Order: sequence, then C-alpha cells, then structure tokens
Amino acid sequence: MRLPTDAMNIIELNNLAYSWPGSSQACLEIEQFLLKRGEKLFISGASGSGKSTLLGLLAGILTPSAGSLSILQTPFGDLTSSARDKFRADHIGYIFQQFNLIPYLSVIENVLLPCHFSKQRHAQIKPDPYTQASNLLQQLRLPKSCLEQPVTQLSIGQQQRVAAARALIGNPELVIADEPTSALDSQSRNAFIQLLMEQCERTGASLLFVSHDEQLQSHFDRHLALSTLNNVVQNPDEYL
Amino acid sequence: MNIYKLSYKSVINRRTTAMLTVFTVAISVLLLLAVERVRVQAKASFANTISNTDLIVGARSGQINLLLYSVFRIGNPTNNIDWKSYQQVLKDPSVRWSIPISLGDSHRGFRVIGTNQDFFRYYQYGRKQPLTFNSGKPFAGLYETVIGAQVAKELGYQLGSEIIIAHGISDKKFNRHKNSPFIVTGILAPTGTPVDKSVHLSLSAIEAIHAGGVHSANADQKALQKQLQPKQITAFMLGLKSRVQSFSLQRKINTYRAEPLSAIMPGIALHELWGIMSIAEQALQGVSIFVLVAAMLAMLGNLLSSLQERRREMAILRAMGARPRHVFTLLISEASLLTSLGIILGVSLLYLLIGAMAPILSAQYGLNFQLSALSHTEWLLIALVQISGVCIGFIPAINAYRNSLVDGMTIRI
Amino acid sequence: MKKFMTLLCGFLLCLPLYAQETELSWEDLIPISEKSIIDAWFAKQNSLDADQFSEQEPPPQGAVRTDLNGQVIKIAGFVIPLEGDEEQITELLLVPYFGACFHVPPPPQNQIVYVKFADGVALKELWDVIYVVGTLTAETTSHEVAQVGYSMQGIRTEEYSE
Repeated sequence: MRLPTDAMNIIELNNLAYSWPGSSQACLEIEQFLLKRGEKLFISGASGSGKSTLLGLLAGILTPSAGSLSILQTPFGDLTSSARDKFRADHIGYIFQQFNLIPYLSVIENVLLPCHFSKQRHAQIKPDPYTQASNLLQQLRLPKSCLEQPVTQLSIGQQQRVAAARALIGNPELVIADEPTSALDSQSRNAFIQLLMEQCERTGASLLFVSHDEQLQSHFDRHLALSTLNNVVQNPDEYL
Repeated sequence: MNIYKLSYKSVINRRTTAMLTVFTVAISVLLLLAVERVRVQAKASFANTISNTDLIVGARSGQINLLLYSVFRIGNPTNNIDWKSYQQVLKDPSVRWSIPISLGDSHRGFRVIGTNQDFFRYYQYGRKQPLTFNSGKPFAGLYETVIGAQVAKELGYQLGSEIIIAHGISDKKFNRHKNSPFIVTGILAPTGTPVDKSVHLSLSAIEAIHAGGVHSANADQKALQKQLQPKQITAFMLGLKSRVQSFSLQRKINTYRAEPLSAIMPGIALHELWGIMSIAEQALQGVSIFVLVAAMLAMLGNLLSSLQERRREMAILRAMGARPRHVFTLLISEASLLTSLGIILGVSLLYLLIGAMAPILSAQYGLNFQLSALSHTEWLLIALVQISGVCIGFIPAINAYRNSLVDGMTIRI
Repeated sequence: MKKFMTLLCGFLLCLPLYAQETELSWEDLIPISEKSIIDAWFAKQNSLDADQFSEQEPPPQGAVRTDLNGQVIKIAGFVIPLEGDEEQITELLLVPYFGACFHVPPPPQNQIVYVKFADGVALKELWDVIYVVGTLTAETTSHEVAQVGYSMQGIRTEEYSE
C-alpha cells in the first residue's frame, strides 16, 4: 500500500532492497519509510541490523538493488553516483560516531569542509565563512579558545560538537547522525543531543539519529526500530 | 580552500616523512643535473681551448695523451723531442707558422711553459681569438716572463713583480732555484683556457734554469747564447698554408725515421677524447636514472603506507560529498607537491655545490663552471622528474579511489 | 590564363636555381688528365707478375679542376671536425674514406674538401657520414710548390642514406 505523496517528505523509501555485490541474499528490505521536513527521528538498531547499509543508501554511497529512494523529491535512481555525491554535499550533513575531524585542518577549516564541495551551501553562509563558523561553534557551547587549538587536542565531546557544526553549516535540509553519542559519557550525551536538536530546529533541518541506546529515544519526535523496519531476518549471532 | 590546499596541508602535517621523500627526490635531481652540467661544461671548456691549429707534434705517444698535456696541461709527456727534428719539420713547404713548447716546470702550483714569441703571435683559442695582453708585452730578455690572468690574480702579481721558478711540477722549497728570479713583463687577458694558469718563459730561459741558473753579466754573450740554445722541446704546434695539407704532413711526421714522433690533428683528438668521456657520461647518466627510480619508489612507499591510516580521512571526505575523483586528485597532487619541492631543493643544492666547487675544479682540472641559468636539456630533465612524480602518484591515487568506492563512509579496521 | 602563364614562367625560371646544385662523386674532383695517368699506372701494375711489382711511386696526384670553381655542389663524405665549440662546427674537412690507419696512404689533396660554415652547423661526430652542399672553390696558387686544393663555402648539410 502506498501512502499519498506528501510534498513535505524529505525521505521516501519504497520497497527498497539491497544485497551486497556477489550475494544473492538481500541484507536490507524495507517496504516503506518516510521522513517529514523538520522531523527528528530516532532509529534504534544494533550493529549488524542493516544500519550501515541503510545509511549508505540514504547518503547515496550505495545503490539499491531494487525499489525506489527519493530525497527532497529527487529520485536517487535517476542520478549517477557522481551526481549523488554532489547531492549529498549540497543537502546532507553527516556525523560519525568518532574520529570525525581531519587532523591536519584547523577547527574552522573542518567546519567549513562541506562548503568547498558544495557551492550551494557555501552561498548560504552569511556574512562570511569564518564568522558563520565561529557563531555556530559558539552556539554549540564551544569556548573561543578551542578555535585556535589543533583538533587532536580537543576532547571527544568537543570534537563531536565540531562535527555537529560541520553537519549544520550552510543549512542542509537533512542531518544524519550515526551513533554520535556512543563515545560520550552520559552527561555529555544528553547535552549533545539537546544542542543538536536546538540547532536543527533553528535551521529547519530534519534529523535522522541512529543509535543502539534506546534510552535516548525520549528526546525525539518519533522512534523506529530497525529490526522492525527491516524485513530481512537477522542472524541473532550478528547482534554480538 | 580547494583540493590543492588540502593536499598541501596534508603533506605539511606529515612533515617528517614528507621531508625524507623530498630529500631523496632532491638528491636524484641534483645528481641528474650535476652530471648533465659537468658533461656540457667540460665539453665547452675543452672545445674552446685551442683554435686554428692544424697539427700538434710531440714524442711518440697516444693522441689523447698528447692533446691533454700539450694543450690542457693535464698529465705529463712521455718524452721530449730533439730540436733537430723540430727544425727538420719546419723545412716542409706546407708549414706557415710554428709554436715550440717546453713543459716540466712549475711556479707555486702553476705550470711553466717554455716557448717563443710566436706563441703570442699565433696561438688562438675559442673562435679563432688571438691572445691579448691586459698589460705589458711579450718577454724579450732572458729572465722575463709573461703570466696568465689567473696566475696574476691568485698570486697578486703585477708588472715588474719578481718570481722564482722551480724545476719539476711539484713546487717545494728545496728545488726552487733561488738564484733565478724572473720579472713579469706581461700579463695576458683572461681566456677561460689553461693559458690563464700558465707562466710563460722563453726556451732559453728554460735551459738557463736547468743549467744551474747562474747569471753573470760578464759572461761571454756568444758562449751564453750557445749554452742556452734549446736542445729539446716537449711539443710544437703547426699552422699550415692550407688546411687540406694536414693529412699528408701528419703522415710524413708520423713516419719520420730519425725520431719517433706523433702528429695529431686537434679536432680529431678532441672528438676522440669526447668519445671516451661519453662512456663515462653515459655510465653516470645511467646511475642518475637509477637514483631517480629509487627516489620515486621511496615516495611511493611513503604514500602507500600512509594510505592505510588515512582511510578514515577519505571516509570523512566522502561523507562531505567528495567524489572519488577528488580523492584521486588529492593523492596525485600530494605526489606532485612532494616532487616539486624535491626539485626546488635539488636545484638549490646544485647551485650551492657549483658555487662551492667551481674554484677547486678550475684550479685542479681546468674545467670552468659558471652559475649560469638552467639549460634547455636541464629543464627537460626537471620535467622528466616532475612527470615521474605525477605518474608514481597514480598508484596510491587509484588505490585510494578504489578504497573510497568500496569503503564509502564506513571503515573496516 | 594570363595569371597561369605568369605562374608557370615563374616556376620554370626558378627551376634552374634548384638544378644548380650538382651532386658529385669523389672521382669527379680529379681532373681527367690526372685520372687517365693514374688509370694507366694501375693497369701497368696489374699486368705485372707478383714478383715484378714496380718500385715506382704512383704518379703525383692532387691537381684540382679549376672548371668547378664557383659551382654549387653536393658531395657525401666523412667528417673531420676542425673548428667550433661544444654545440657547433664552423670548419671541417670532408674526406672520402674512413679511418686514419697507417696501411692506407692519406687522401691526395684533390680528395679532401675544406668546408667552412659561417654560421656553424650542429655538431657532428667524428667520422660521421653526411652530404655537404656548398660553393666549391678550386684554386691553385702559383707561388707555392704545393697546390692549395678544394675549399667550400658550406650552405647546408644533409643526412646521408644509402
């Protein structure tokens, strides 16, 4: 059954299936998945539940074996991989679990990284990149002294916040966060999520937050379990 | 900021290993350019030393040996030739002029040449340039000498300076003839040839040195003249009335029965010298190419080994929207940058080396090196190195490209 | 039609300029009189038995053909560099055969050409074989016992191929 198309959908997945090259068995099968504009969604999933595959598909790195995927009303099936890379640069901000930052660039340079892969995001920055970046970092409660430090000297919490700033700079429509708090202690965890949500609210971005820690779901508008979403039966051993 | 700035920052970040790579490239560039420069400037030095001379004649010996000691003052003659043989050759109707020379003495490290006034009249170098005097004139009296420009400069001599001539090449106190001071009557203009480093005396003066050098004003002039008549010379140069006569006179001299002589045509001997040099040149060029290969492999090893630890970095860039070709470009430009830095360092080292070594090479070997700009061939060699660097960069670049396609944003540890 | 005829005339007039360059062989440099004497001498040598080889020297050689004076000729030979620097040759001798070994006599004086290039040509290796094109001068000077021989104002060199 197909829901009526909603112009406000940021992500639309229909009958999506993916199998690794060389494997006949699909590892991911999703009948339908929607994400609205401005929505903050929590997806819980343990490692091995198809999380990386889903994120790879959403980011445009992987190509679905079957079904359709649209982001911002743009069907990914029509785009070449190069075009998808560009799309990702223009519209998606990404946060990793850890080691988000490039060690030989400064904090500001890390934050501004998406802007030189995307003219669109670059154009969104006012008045100038440096000011915009420092404002964003300030809003994420990073002290000014951090700006001058080499990234390797920042704490994990600070690094994650810089990563968040990088994901948000230039106002992309979608922010994907892949276990961004798993490396943080519980205090920093909540603070981080709080800040991230604030900023997404401010820019109107949708947030897709993936984590195995179900306790965090209270912060979010909606919660989905990947094991429910994914029709492929998971091997219990893979949960370990 | 663009990919090139990224690659620059990346290289700077891995400073230590990057510097090692840059050094190995620099050394290979230095070697390639130095060999090329020595090759060309040695050839030029030799080519410009003697001109417009049809034959050089000396005691029977190899062509190149005769050329080297008579013109370049490198090495020593095997034997002297009899004055009578010289006079006999001069009788040949094809001879227009001759310059006799006598070698074997030295003054404070500079070679002494016994000759006559014909040397200053007929000797030419470069493109038929005759010798000119910066000051003074040719020697006339017995104890007069004309010195080359470099002798004057290094030893601080001027017109009227008194100098002492030693017997033999090695100039030590015990064989300096204290009682034979010579007066400088002329200083030659610089020629860029071994003439600059020579001290010129008359043939009689050479005889005087070897006769003991006692110079008494009261001595019977006629007896003195007889005593100082040269009996032997080392070699002589000939100019003929027509250059096509060189072959037949050369054959006559080589088959002269009274004494074993060798006559060479300087052009032929010089080219044979270059033929020998070219073997050495090619060997050195071969070595340089191998050094370049070694440097490229070192750079390749450096880049490839860094790739493993940089997979995370590539994943981040991919997440930011970098296409795989961006990753490719990043690595190619790193390889290019390292190579370029190596080239710049290598060229700088080359000029430093030339600056430092030029005076020594000039004094010892008669080779003139100038701090001239890079030649066409040298630019080609530099281009070769740069292109090699870029090509080598393809290997890690393709690796990284493929990795980034496979890895995507997830890293396999 | 008129235009075509003008072009044709111009072309035909230019032809002699190209035709002027005569290719000569080394034998052509020997005057006929001298050649016939040498040929006769050789014939005599060949007719003798082995133990009767004439002790006589071969007849004198070296006369030049003054009729060639001023002609533009092309001739192939071996290069003996005389003057120049590390990149160019300005003067060379062109000889008909390779090597300067002792068991052949040196070339006679009408078998050597002294070539001068005012602007120099690219450096040639010793004993390279090339074509030389230039204006030949064949002079004898009366006050010398030995004749002066052939010299040439070189115009260009060409690669030699069989």
